[in-house]
Amino acid sequence: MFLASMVLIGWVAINEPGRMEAFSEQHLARSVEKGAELFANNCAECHGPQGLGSGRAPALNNPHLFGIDFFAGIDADIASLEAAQQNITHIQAVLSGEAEAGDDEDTDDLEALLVTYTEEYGEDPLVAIDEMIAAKETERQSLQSQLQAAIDRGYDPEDPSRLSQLDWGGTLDAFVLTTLVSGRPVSKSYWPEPMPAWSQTAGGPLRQDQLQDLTNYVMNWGAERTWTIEDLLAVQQFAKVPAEGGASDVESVAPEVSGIQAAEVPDQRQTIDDTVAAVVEELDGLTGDPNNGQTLYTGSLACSSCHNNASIAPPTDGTYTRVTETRLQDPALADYTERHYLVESILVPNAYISPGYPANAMPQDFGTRLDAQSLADIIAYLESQDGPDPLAN
Amino acid sequence: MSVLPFPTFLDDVKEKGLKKALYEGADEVVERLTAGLNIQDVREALRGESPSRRPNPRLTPHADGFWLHMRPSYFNVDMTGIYPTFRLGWLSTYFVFFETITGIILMFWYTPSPEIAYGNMLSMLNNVPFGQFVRDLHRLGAEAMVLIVFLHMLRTFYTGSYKKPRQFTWFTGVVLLIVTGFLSFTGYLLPWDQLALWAVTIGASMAEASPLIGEQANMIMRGGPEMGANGLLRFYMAHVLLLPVLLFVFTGVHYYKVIIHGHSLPPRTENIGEDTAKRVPLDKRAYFIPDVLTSEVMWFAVTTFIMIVLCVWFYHAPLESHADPQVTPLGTTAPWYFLWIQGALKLGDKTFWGVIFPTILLGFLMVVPYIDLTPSRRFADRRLALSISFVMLSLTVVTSYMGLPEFGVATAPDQEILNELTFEPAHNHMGLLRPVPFDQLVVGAYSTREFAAEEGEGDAAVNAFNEELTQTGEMDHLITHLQAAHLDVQALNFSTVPDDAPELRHVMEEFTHKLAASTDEMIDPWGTVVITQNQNNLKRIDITIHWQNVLVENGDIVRGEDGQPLPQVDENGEPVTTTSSKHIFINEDSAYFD
Repeated sequence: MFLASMVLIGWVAINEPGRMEAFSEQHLARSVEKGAELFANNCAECHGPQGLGSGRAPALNNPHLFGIDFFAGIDADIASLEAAQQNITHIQAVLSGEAEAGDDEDTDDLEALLVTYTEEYGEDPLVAIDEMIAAKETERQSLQSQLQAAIDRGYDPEDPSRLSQLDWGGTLDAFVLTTLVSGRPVSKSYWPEPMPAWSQTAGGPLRQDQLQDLTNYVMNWGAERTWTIEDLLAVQQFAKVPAEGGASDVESVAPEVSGIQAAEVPDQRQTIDDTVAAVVEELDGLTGDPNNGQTLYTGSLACSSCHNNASIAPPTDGTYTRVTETRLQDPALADYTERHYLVESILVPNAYISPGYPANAMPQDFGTRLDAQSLADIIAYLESQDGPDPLAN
Repeated sequence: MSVLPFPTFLDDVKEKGLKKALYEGADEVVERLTAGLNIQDVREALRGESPSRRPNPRLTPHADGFWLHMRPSYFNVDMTGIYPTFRLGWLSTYFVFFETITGIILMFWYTPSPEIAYGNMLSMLNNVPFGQFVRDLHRLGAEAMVLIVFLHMLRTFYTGSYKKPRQFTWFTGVVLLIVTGFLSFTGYLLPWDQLALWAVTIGASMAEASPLIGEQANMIMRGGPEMGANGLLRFYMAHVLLLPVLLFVFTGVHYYKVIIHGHSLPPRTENIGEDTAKRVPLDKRAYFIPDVLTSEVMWFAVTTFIMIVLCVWFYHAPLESHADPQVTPLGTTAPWYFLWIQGALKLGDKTFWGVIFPTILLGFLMVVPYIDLTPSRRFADRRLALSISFVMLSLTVVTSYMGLPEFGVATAPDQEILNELTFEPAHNHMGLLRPVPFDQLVVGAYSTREFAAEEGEGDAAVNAFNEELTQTGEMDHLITHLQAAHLDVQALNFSTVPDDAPELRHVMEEFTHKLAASTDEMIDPWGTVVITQNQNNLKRIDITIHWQNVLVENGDIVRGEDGQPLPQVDENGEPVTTTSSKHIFINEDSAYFD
């Protein structure tokens, strides 16, 4: 029995490396799934459902982020042709006595080398190479014109890597993770709104493991993938370089895909009013639980990621005071109650755009993600956070 | 003679020769180590011979040695078979040590903090050789220990061994049962996954229901209104320090009492009211050395072997996704040995059924020997006690069943179905869609209409479905619904499930079947499954259920003359419909089929 136990433990020992590797692979795969879910709920709004970017945030499903240089092959070819050309010119000069041979150069060797070049490029290698370089240049031109649509949207073929553009010396996943953790506090100067911090450490809604899931998901866009020009052309929005004052002078986004459009005041105004009124009525019969509201607000719905930063969205603190003293003073909202206003703002964010903030900034789908009780809980939470309105000053 | 004032080994060699000196030296070492047995005695014991010298040297280790002084030097031979003990007390002790050892190993790899506890679990699984194995052993051992301690109690009850003079032994036994339960319960939380958090949240919420001190008890246990860093640390300290100390102290007392009173004999071997355990006739004695000792070594080997076999091939400790206080999984349960309380809770008042009832029950168990003063240990004389025990056992089984999520938890049927199709691996089950092979998740849009149709009519049904949706405007509604869930979709065209995706077909059939079984709460329901490619190795699956609401008045479904539920209609007389949906992502390498 003891022997049998030892044999079994030995068997386990032999299989351990394989088992651990399989687990790592499986765990990474499931982490990507969770990251995809987080992305759809929190990031797709700005970065696009397929990660191709919008007027509010750059593409992540993007060869530029992964540092893919489409000209690399051609440029390398041209460089090697030019090197050969220089070499041949030098050899011919030495052999004809126009130039001194280098210390370590031997005339016989140079002659042999010239023969190899002649065999490779023909009787007149310099001319042949010139032609080849010209052909490569044309090829480069044509590739460049293929990429023109992307270039028009801000892609810089001379600077094909996001990391080198920002002089980031670390790895790409560290770059993605650190961006998620801290957001982009200053990006308001070149984007409609700055990216909020997503880490709980920095006041955001997500835990460390969730940020890791998200990073794994973003990195998975580049996993075992051969990027094509089509992938580059599919990108709707490229990153901007803050050092250059942002590329904000580049009218980057194809307007039909931009998230930023004039706030569409829907024709079905009446329907919306009726729906919101019905919900408000339903809420009257419910008691909200501020604790659960906080859970939703700072957690799964991630409201707080934007609403804790007054430059992105009206802050959570003092919401009720602000609604009473400022918003409801607007004649457009004359017959609104606080609750009515909040319900409408959550369910139909574009119905009224707070002055100083862009339209379409808020996800439009809370109507499908919330039931009446959760809505009541959130409103109860907002009520519990009341105080002086920080925007009033 | 040496220069030293006593003879040395060298002197011995000079005097007796090397061989003899060596043998005598070894003999002395063995005799000291065994506290009384020399090499010859050990050989005789192992060969099963009688001791060749008198007084019996095999008794000296019990008299002189530390370890064996707590073991009796002989047992009654009637107690050494499987019956009447079934070795359950021995096994309980075995698991105390088994859990301590595996637990100490795990402690090297674990930090009690919500930030990294789950990460520790992962690294144990993907970076620590034998990490998974030891965790499996510890977890399986814990579950086995709860079961075995419980069975030990049952056995003691049925053989009437709790009766005079062993009342206090029984009492400490019940304490040990409770401590074992709490040890297992506190350990449940430590992996900090969804299973842990929610099982423990349910368990801990019972403390909250205690009268008068509920809130304080809850605060002390969790260190805050919700389970967080403080709660985890407290559970950890209880698990590795407080409860083990209690366990060892009470195990000591319990075993001391067992030895003091002797193992109670099978009831039939004694006269009623007699206790002859300590008076073992010479011909009934089975000496500890060698008979009981070798038997215990054998039991040790067999039990360990079984545990190893189970953990190598049959059992792996569960690990679900990271604990998330904001996501309550559907169908959360307490650990199985607390299901009876969870079931009792469904009977009504939380304070009574969650706190007072279990307290009364356990309190009753503790004082059983002080209430049941009848001297007879025979079944025929214990009809009342046995009847009560059967009633209580049945009650435990019934309330445990009631504790399952299947019983008496009303969830909207659409949520139930969506969950059954998609839920993450939990309790060794997972949503039906997850184990479908990746290449059978063919990108496309499918509907349950195909499978609700007659055999061979699927194609036509799908075409009709497309047409119907387009005409009624439902198609746009559906697309808007999916877009709101951030699915990048502009148009939908439903098609039949390809023939080379039999498992997807099977899931769709199940889906159809489940919808058909819910028509009492949803009128004319249909479901769709939309599979899209999200990344190269990642697919997104959106499941939608659409139905006409049933008319509900005062909480009851209103039915027509044919017994079918009536639809809810709006002011224009149009039926009110609802769409609900859920989506999951499946990665090629997620290996859910394992």
